[in-house]
Amino acid sequence: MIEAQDVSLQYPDGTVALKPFSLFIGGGELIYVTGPSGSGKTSLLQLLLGMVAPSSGLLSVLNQPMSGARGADIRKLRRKVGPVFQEFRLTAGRSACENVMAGIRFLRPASGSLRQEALEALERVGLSHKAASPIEHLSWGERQRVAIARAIARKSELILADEPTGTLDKENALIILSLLISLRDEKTTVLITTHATHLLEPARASGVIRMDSGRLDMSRGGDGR
Amino acid sequence: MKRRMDNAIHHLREAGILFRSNLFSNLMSLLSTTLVFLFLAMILAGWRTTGHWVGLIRSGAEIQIFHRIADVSSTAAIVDPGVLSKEISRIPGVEAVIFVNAEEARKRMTELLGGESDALAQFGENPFRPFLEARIRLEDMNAVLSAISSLDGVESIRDNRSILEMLIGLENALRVLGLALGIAVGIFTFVLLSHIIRTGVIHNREQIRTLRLLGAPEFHIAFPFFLLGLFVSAGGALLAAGLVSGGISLFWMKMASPLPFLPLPAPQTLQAGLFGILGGIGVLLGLLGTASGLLSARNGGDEGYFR
Ligand SMILES: Nc1ncnc2c1ncn2[C@@H]1O[C@H](COP(=O)(O)OP(=O)(O)OP(=O)(O)O)[C@@H](O)[C@H]1O
Ligand SMILES: [Mg+2]
Repeated sequence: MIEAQDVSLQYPDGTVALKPFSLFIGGGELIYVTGPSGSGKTSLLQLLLGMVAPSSGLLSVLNQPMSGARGADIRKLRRKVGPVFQEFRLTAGRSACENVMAGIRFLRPASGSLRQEALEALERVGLSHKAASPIEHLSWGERQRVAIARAIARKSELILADEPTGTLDKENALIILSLLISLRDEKTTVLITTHATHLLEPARASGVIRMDSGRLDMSRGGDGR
Repeated sequence: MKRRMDNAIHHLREAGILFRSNLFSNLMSLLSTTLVFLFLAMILAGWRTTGHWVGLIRSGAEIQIFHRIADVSSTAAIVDPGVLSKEISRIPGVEAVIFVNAEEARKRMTELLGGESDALAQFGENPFRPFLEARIRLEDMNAVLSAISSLDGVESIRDNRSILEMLIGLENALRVLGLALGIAVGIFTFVLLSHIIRTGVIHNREQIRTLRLLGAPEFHIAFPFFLLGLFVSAGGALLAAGLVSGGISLFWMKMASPLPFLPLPAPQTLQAGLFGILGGIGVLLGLLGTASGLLSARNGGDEGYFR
């Protein structure tokens, strides 16, 4: 699923966001990525989503090599990923439902109606009553849940959730966390970054990546499915 | 199937949102394309009409030969139209000669004038004189004319060479003008669309980036922009074709009675031609301009290191 060998990431301005690391994440795992602000969590997810190319090493995501990959291959890979962006990346002027629909419109499997699928996802994050509201009328926490609903609706093989509870109160954060955790199954791998370690139950994860100023340290264990 | 419909509606709505997101500028653009296509449409209609006249005159190059007629004050011999017509028909390049007597000449003018022919009744005596009418091959016109004028008994010849030459000149001028205007309209629309689309992309670059991050294929992202481009370009072209077509219908109706001897081309053919040509140009320019706008926005966009 995800394989990294001596992968590092240096931004064009010289910032070394990720020091050389190696790791392997299989199908159906649940991985927490923790670390202080600026430690490189978002950078790691950007690498996995093909938003930046590794500066060195070998990285493959869902069997797609990430170095020197063609734009079309990256695009294809992204269709199999359900990303939750730290900055949400929702489109203002469109309703919550339309934003979720925008994330699944071009995906092949068409089980039912688009709107139906989007409404189901919104239901799961407890926002079906806001489906018709334009994004700019929603609170930050509600926007975050729309962003998560979009990732859920994509029914992807890899969920990359960047700080998905960042703007939620403790109660809602726990609900969302357990929702994301519940997405994990044999085929679906879930990666969740957060600095809110107090909310995590490491025992439920199959691995925890601790990050500190670009250094990755992966510990295995727990995995109480 | 359901999803395809859904997506078609979605793309149309997105195109609508794009149009409204820069409403004033896009409306002005539509107005501009309509105006430039309007000029083109008028020139095209003029060109087709003169072309029609040229064709008509060419197909029946007829000349009228007026011979000397009986005159008491003259001692010159009376010319027998039958003999003269035989002589004329022997000249190479002459296809047929008929004799039109004075009564026939009057009848023709009556027909030509239609409703206005009452005016002719005011003449007690028939004011028309008999003549010979010869149909000739156009390319032999000059030789035929000089041969006929050297025949004895021929007083004057009326030919439509000068009108034909004028019309051919007009047709050529309109063709050149139409071509030049066509090129100008093409460049103008192309540049305008390029700019609109580029502005639209830059306006929406966050949304586009999000769609790319979600893996949307490029054509999915580009589709609403093509619809916008087609709307401004082909929309303007068809609007112009519609306006000129309406103008043609009105003008033809007005011109039919006072100008019965200037047969205009069938309005339906002219209008269909306008819609076909302008629609085609509009669609082509819409596609090309949009593609260019998308490409130019892309080259200056956030591609490169960050994907
Ligand atoms: N595009 C960029 N160009 C240069 N440096 C960058 C860029 N993006 C991030 N960085 C730097 O890389 C480092 C890691 O940033 P990153 O966003 O990955 O941290 P993070 O762990 O996600 O932090 P947070 O918890 O605040 O979201 C930071 O020092 C940041 O300033
Ligand atoms: Mg971050």
